[in-house]
Amino acid sequence: MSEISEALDYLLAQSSASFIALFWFVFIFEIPRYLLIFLVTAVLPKPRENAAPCMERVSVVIAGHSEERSIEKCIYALREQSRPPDEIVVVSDGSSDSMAEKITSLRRQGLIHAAHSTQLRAGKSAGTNMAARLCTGTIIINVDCDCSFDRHAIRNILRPFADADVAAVCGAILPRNTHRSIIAAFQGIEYMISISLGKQSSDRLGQVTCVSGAFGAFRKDAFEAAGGLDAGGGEDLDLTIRLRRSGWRIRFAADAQCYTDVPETRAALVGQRFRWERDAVRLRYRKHADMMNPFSRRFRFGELFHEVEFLFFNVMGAVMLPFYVFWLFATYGSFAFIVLLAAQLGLLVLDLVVFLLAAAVTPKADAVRLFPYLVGYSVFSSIYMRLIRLTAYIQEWIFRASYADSYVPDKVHKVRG
Amino acid sequence: MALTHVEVENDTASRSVLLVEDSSVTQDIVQLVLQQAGHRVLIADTGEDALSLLAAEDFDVVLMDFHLPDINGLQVVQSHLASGLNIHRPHFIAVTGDVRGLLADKLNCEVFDRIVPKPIDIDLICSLVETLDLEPRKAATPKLVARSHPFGELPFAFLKWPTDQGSNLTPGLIGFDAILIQSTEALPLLWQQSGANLLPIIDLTGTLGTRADFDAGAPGLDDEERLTILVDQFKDLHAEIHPDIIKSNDPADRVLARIHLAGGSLRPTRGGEHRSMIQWNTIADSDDLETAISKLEKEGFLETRFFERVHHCPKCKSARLLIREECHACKSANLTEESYLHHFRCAYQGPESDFRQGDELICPKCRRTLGHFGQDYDRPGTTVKCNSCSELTTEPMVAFVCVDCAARTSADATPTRDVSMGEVTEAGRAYLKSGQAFFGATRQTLRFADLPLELIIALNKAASQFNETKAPFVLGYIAYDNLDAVRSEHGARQTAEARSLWLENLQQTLSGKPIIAKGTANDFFLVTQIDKPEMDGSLPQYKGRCDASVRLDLGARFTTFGPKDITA
Repeated sequence: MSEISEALDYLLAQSSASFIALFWFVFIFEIPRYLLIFLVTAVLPKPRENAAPCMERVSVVIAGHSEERSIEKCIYALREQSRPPDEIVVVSDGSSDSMAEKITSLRRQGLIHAAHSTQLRAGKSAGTNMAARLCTGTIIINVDCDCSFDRHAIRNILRPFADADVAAVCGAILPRNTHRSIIAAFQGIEYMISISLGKQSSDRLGQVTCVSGAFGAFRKDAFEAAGGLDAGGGEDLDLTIRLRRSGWRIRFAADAQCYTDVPETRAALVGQRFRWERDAVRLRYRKHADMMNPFSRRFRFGELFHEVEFLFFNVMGAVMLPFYVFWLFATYGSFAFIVLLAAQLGLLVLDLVVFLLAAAVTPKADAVRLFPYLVGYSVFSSIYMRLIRLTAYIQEWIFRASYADSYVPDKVHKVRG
Repeated sequence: MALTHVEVENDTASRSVLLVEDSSVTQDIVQLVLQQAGHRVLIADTGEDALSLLAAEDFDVVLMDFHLPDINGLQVVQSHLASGLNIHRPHFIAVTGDVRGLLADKLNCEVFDRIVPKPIDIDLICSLVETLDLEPRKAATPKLVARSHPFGELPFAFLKWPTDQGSNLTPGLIGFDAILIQSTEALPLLWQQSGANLLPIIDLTGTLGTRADFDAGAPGLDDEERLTILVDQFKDLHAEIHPDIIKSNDPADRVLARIHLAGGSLRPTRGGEHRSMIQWNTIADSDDLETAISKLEKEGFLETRFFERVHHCPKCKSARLLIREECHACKSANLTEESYLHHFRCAYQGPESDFRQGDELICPKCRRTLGHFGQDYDRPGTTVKCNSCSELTTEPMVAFVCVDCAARTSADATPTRDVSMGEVTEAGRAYLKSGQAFFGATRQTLRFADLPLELIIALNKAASQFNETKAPFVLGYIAYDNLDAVRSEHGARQTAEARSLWLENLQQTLSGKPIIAKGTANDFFLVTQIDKPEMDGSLPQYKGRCDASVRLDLGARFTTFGPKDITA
């Protein structure tokens, strides 16, 4: 008790300069990011979309592996759209369940327009490329089997295409199963803040860098010119970066709402995030490393911005955390606990502000129900997720782990090295 | 001459008929009925009388009993024709109990225009008299070039089809035992021939399959024996069928009788000859059969069992359909199967034709050459490509094209119909035995419509006498309770014989001048000059005597009616 009061006295006695010196990690890696999101969203005007109906031919392409249970619900959600797609093409990518039979029967019922099945799994990229090759639309909407959609999702994701420079539009994704576990509830808050709110602010800055494979729309000519999806993981991020680097605009449609199931257990979440983070660093700093090279012929400041932003807030933020904790303990001994607690309390206040803002711009999210999880989320995002990220970066940098992901078939890994 | 002709044309219904007949009962009936219908009837008791009447005036129709007391019918006609007085040749109709014997002599066929069986069917005589073509005609010259057939030795009269087509076939094909099919043409015409449904079909062509009752296409050692059994079977069963149904023109009745004769079941088989793709064990047309079957089923005469579901053309109902796989987009059947290729390096996946350049496989996306299966690429599946419009599909559409009218229908829109096999039910057999009476609510009671014609005539006479002189009479109605049981145990023919014998005994036993009339399910007697109570008193005694004389117990039972019961 005495230690706590001593520590509090010490904290309160700091001048502002020494206070910042004590909480340098928070001031460098946390506050700017929150501030950026808050300012951009609050200050920059919301982009106005063209409400005229989209006259393009719209093809929904779905490539799934053993998705017999979710495909039907997904198709029904698509058929319920206020702007129904003109064509739905489904590829069963070497499914081992009865997905092939299921989609054949859906086609017989006239619910989808083409059903193609292969016996060997080729991976998400090749499956989606084939579906895109077989569809006839001028706009391709790529969706995941386990997604369902609000009635206006397709109408809304099509609106930004009124701008002829837009090659791709990312849909808004929210978890559907937040009530299933505490891990899922935390992700509910995380999606609200980082996807809904985060992407809205990126959109206003022209910095949307990943059109999610779960729900994204592409101009077919741009998609084909870019060669479609590339082999290997993180294909959605890769394609978006390539489109951006070819000069296309990428948008985010906050009101094109899609729902998906997020991992409900820690193990599943860790597996998923390892994959995402490893793919992100591999693509950003190996495959597209020349985005940071000012002497490259294709150098653009817009690309440098998100490369540096990611490097600083995601990579450095994760890498520096252990050093900060170590430094705290080395310098302040048992005071370090109190300092960390204080830092966490400060973050909680910031999280509360951002959460309220996210709730305001994401009316579809069940903010009231998620609110009690905010305290836990604060720790989850600032410490737990950072540690996961850190582990993923180490795996990738040292062991090049993304080259062995089971998400991509072995035969593809072999040729891609 | 011209005047006569006009007269005839103006009054086609009235015919002059000469009836040559020695039985006074038959004379009465025929005369009564034909005169009622407005015809002029003269009667000759003997052949000599007939010849003199023929010489004296012209007749339209001569009904000639074949067996006369002096000379037979054939001789009468021959001498008349030989006399040279045949400027106006009447139609000669032979009336005989032995149709088969008469048909056996080719000369008869040339001389008589028609042969009608005994006992006389008054409706048939009536319709013959009214419908005969009155134009003077030459003696019939049947083209019956007796083509040799393997069953010439058998004591059966065969109708040879189509050789005998158009010749003077007896109405209802009475007298024939079987039909020999020499060629499959004109079979529908044969089926339409009344009576064709009651005879076994012997297939000499060897092509009819199950449609014929007997395949004589390839001769076998026991053919004659088997054929005899078959003809006997038809005859046995034929004897059970009520005349209502034998004479019926209703397609359902004809089919029912046919099924019963052929063993009781209607069996479909798959076959491509008919457009229904179904072949039945009868020569009846498939289309007609379907309506007949559903009617019989509804009446409970036929019990059906599912046999096959047949897709048919919605336009022309033909089941001869070509099944084909076709393209969703352009409906072409010009499809080829093709592999998908997956290029690992760049994740391009598409049909092989995207990659094919000569004998090289080159990725259309990254332009790399695919050199090593399993390392550069693999084939994850197959697709079907339309060569007409280049559309790709995993599962082509299935459609039917009608062979007969070329209409195209997608598989799921093609209508179907169910084909069932049928068995004659107990009710069906009862209907076959009792005819229209089956539908009457009171099957075992007296219905005047059921009474034989000669009985009605006699009854009329008795009734008018009763009105004049109060001379009493008794009408008796004989029901046989054990008839069905005896028939199933001893066969139709023995039963019929036993019944005749029993009746004959009754005739001898009854006092007075009894008139015995044979009905179908029941028999009748009429005794004059006796009143009902007296008759009722002695009937058990009569019955005992009759029963004793017959080996089979028919279970005869009497119901009697006096003058008051009938006139009331």
